Amino acid sequence: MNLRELIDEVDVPATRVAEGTWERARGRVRRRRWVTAGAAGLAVAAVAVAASVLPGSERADGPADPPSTEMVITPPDWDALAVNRVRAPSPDAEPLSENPVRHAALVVADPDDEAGAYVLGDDGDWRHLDVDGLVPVGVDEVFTTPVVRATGLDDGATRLAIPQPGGLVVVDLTSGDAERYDVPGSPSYVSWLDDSHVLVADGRAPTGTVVDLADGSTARSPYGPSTRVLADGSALTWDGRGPLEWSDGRIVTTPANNAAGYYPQPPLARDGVVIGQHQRNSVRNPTPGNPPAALSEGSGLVAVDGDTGAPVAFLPLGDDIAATSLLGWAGDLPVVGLVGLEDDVLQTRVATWDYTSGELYPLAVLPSSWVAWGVGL
Amino acid sequence: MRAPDRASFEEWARARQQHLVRSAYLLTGDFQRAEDLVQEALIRAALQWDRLREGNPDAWMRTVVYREHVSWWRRRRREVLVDEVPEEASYDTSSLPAGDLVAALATLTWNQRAVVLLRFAEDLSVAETAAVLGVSDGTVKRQTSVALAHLRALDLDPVEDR
Repeated sequence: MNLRELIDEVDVPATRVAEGTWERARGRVRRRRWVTAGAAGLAVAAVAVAASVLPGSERADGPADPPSTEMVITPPDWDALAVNRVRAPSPDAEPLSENPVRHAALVVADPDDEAGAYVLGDDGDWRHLDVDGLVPVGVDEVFTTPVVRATGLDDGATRLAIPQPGGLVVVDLTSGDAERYDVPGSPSYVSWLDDSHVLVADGRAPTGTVVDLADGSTARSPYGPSTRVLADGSALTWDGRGPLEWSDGRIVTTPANNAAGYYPQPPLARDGVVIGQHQRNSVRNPTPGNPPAALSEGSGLVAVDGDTGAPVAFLPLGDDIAATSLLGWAGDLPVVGLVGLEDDVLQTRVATWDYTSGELYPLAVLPSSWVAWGVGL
Repeated sequence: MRAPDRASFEEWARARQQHLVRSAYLLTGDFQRAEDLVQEALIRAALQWDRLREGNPDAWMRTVVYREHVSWWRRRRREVLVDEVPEEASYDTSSLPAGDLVAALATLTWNQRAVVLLRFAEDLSVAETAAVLGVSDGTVKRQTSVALAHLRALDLDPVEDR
């Protein structure tokens, strides 16, 4: 028997899973209509954010608490983001070492080689990342992924950090030179802490190792793949468990989480607002209290108040978007990547997200689902 | 959601539910989880049935089920690692008849199982499989090769007679 036949032969109990499905779907529509009441088909919706999202509060039985704040909901429009298509790099692109860049506009994974990548310079030309010895990044015992991470570029977009088995490779994009640093384990995650320190970690572990680029020394770090070190030196950790954990000791409960994405990514944080990748029904974050319906029913990008944990905006994935990515900032707006299919090829549509108004401003369509955003286009 | 749509949706859903759950069971190894996955996908299908009915709702359902399972598994792996509980969910074959291929599937890792099922049970191309799982073509090819070698070492061939 082959596998195709097996599906119809395997003996599982009779299911009635289709029964009542239509009514459940109608129930969701009704809740969404309540959520978006008065918003006339667009973005701003009054949503109940229960008192229980605040630290120390408890869920109460009985009717839901009245709406206490507003959450902006951005309906995703995949087609509207299809502007400014960046041409795919040619395999014949010049090697980076022969034509280095001043700054990287962006970096994408080589679609044909997980160990490869292409750098788009701020002059608009692609370069092939010619670093010897790179191998695909292992994310578990079997699966490997491309070498490009959304957190791989430094602030100036002049250096690219790449996790490798037993090490870290930092490529100077202005010269093409690469330096390898030995690191315990097999990191799958990198993030720049400052100009001379890179955090590396196994993407599934809660903490990692800091590499000092000046001398190659390493030290254990309390931070891991879900930690963002901010410009003022403070740090914020937000993962699938839910609470925002600030380095000053504050633990802020929130009905949202940062559990989604192809691989763990740290939140973005600025001006008291934290951006994460919310996963519906995260197994470790049973939503406390009476959560906004949109967060219970969908995955997507979420913005929460960094002090209270209250959701302020949500961008659900919708049907066309398979995953999201947090790419950085453009001024005061977060730069986000929305990954989906076009003609059977995965691509990233990059946009800035104005979470205060719900507007998405498209920036580019990139020919890869693994990208790092530098100075941009 | 219009009443005329309801009749066609329910007709389609009832006709496909057993196949969908069987397929999800082979993926997850857990009947309850298979039903949960299929039910959630059906609800989402109902929400946009007026559009889906004109296309290929079976393919759409398959993508939703696999993506949801992949997301759940990746998320779970992160969390079990933190809590140091067993990494691989046991594939419950106790409720199944002794089918060699089913038992052999149980010996694959979850990601090998997903790749093999998409490629040879669902007849997807390498590119389509990569898109569903959110990995590269190279990963699909490599995992296919590893999984087939593993199955053939057990004297089983999921693509025989094809």
